[in-house]
Amino acid sequence: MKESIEVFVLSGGKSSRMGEDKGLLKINGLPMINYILDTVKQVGYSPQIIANDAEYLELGFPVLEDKIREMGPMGGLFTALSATQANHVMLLSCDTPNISRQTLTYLIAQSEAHKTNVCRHKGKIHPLIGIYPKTLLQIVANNLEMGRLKMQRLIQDSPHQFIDTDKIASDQEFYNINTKKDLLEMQLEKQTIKIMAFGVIAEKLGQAELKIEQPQNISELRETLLNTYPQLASLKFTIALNKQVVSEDKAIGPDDEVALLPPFSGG
Amino acid sequence: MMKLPCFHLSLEDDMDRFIRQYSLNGFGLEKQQKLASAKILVVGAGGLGCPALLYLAAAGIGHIGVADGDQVSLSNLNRQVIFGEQDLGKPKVEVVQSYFSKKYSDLQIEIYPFYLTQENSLDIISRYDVVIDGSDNFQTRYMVNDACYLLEKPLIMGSIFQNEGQVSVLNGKGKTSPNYRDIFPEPPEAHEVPNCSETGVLGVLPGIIGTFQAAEAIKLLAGFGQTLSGKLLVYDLLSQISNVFDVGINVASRALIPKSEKEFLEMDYSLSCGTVQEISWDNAVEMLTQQDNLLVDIREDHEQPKIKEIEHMKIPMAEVETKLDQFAQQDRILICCQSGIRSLKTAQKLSGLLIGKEFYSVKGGVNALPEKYLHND
Repeated sequence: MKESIEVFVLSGGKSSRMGEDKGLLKINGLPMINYILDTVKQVGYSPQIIANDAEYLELGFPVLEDKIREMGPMGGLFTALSATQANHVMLLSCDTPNISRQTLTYLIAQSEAHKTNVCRHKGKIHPLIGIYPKTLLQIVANNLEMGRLKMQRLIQDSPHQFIDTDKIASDQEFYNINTKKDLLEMQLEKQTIKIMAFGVIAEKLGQAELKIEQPQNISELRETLLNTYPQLASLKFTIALNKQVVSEDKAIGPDDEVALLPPFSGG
Repeated sequence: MMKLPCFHLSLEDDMDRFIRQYSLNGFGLEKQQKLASAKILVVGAGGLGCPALLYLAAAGIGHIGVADGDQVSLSNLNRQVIFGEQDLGKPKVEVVQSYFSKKYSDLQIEIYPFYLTQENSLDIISRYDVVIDGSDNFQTRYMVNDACYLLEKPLIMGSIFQNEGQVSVLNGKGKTSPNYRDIFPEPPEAHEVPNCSETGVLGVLPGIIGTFQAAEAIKLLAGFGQTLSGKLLVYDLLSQISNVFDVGINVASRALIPKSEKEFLEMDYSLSCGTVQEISWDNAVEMLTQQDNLLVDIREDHEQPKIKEIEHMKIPMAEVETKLDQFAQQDRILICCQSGIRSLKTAQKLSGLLIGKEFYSVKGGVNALPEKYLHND
């Protein structure tokens, strides 16, 4: 679709099951909403956040307050359609942090102008991974007034197409975080890296090999290690990334292998 | 066996000892002659030096120097395979000399019955083509590295820790090649070195690593195969797994290396061992998160403010020496006072009284402690 699109990420919902505003709950040290914001940015769009908490301003993106509160996704869509300068809005949610660039790119490419375009994965419809035309604004406003809040209904009743993602996306992408348990499981599914420790470092760690969550770079790795294993604080060691000794900061990728190398003195 | 080119009869005779070496595919007489004219200095005639010497001499290195100021002791014999019971108490280098003079008449061997120092190392190293580091302490390792860097002499580093060993060829092509500081920019601090005393080791480990060093020296001098220049090999005896890491130039650590003989002589290589170190509160708080580390406030009872939230023991300075039994369970004892002066004195005194424990003085004392850790009684 070549029509103009603005991207809105919903985070305003009251999260009864989490007991707190879930977009700011942390996954591996970052607010949950950061993951989808990053993905949107990587696809080339500048996302806006729809939320009702000033804390979201600290994320560095425009934050819109819901025009009418506590109306769920329908309320969020109304806010987005009212605010947009574009012909279409892409509506996403903070609680699907695994959505990939490919899926968003596919959604945009397959979407048809002046229609509602919504992802469907293995038969399940995902209204919050969809593109809606601005022309829906009046219908959405009426729905709110009538208390008709079901997104599925809105979609069915207007010109629409479902975009099947079975072939291009993994099931995990549509994994929706609603409970603290979901959140914990998500933490465990995050990328890890392998660490090999040598000499006195292995001795202090009590193990020669361990896995940790993937840090962004070498300096973050050092910081994480020292926080997790304070016994390393007073030791000097060199770090090698994928068998290369690093002397300056370097980005760390998933499945990278890091070695912690102290000098040996014995002879 | 192929007949050798008979260009010099006596040379051919000399070479007979090495026929199995120069007949090796790709090695040849020319490479053998390079070994014969080479001069190698072995620093340390210990666990690494002994096997390295054995194979270097056997391989036909023409000229070998050995520097070590130590005498043979009984605990050396599990790994320092040149020495036997009859050598106990003798200077190591003298035993080395008499051992090889009996074995190989064609080997020239010079001995230096003392340790390398900042004063003598540049002079001694400059007489050799390649240096083998078989020393057993970081002071010597960094000093020899810096000297070899200045003189652009290839240095074959070998070292061990428990069941692991490291090998690298440093300054392989002079200053453009990585040296020890490109891998490990600065020496560890005294407290990182395990007790500064000898730790246990299976004799075969230095045997393997010292032999690796000899192999690297031979390859480097003969121009045979790939050396570990720009690489760090880490060998694990228990799993027989070797990891080889690539090493590049570390711009930041090049700033730490002396650039001239004058700078070299002015460097401080001493690593205070068994003496007292001053540490910051940041480090102190970090260290105190570990068991077996203890903070002792030696101020008098009336001194304010008091320390809170950091676990500590209060023993006034005058009583510390009578309460040494209080430290029996601890490995590291951190002493603090109001400004860091009394604590330094006390820590120094205690380190002389209690051997095997590490004493630290907290720099700046309670005056330097962040407010969140303080309260007034």
